[in-house]
Amino acid sequence: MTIIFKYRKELSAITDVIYRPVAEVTLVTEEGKTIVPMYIDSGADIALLPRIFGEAPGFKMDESRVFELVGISKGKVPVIVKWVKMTIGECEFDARVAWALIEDVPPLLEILDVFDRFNVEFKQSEGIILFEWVGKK
Amino acid sequence: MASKDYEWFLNADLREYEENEYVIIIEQKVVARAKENLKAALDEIRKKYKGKIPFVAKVPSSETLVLI
Repeated sequence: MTIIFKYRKELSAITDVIYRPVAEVTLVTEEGKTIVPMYIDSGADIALLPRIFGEAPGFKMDESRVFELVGISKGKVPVIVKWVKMTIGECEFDARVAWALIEDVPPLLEILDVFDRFNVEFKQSEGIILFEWVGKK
Repeated sequence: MASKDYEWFLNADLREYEENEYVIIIEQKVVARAKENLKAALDEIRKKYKGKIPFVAKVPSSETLVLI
């Protein structure tokens, strides 16, 4: 099964316009299903959700350990790692999500748990990204 | 196959909304917007639109992203 996602035209301070790859992801929690557009980032280790975004599907602060994600600028983002049921296309699986304790981060889809299950092909000249399901490794 | 709300979001002009504000989309329409109180807004939308799956998007910022 192959799911086709597209790029979204957005504004950029440097280039005026930028096309960013966006996937449609359904998060399944006790609160119900929530569909979330997430930037596809093959350089991110783990999926990331901003603080308020994480509260919406029902993530709660608990005794979970707080980790710090470090970006290329060495800026640190405190996160709590949560397991969540995730659906992409018809494919449902459990994935880890880093729930940021700050708001100023974008929702990202990443390598861990997702790229293990899909062959992802960026076809930027055609404006599409292909997610080919390969199943759980 | 991606949803109609996803397709709508890709092409939507969201400049009337504040950057980093959240919008809740049902059937290709923004039915609610929220900042700090996204969960409350979402709870209300789930009651109002039973059986529909809300599509929740953060209004993109024009800042250049260098993704971590």
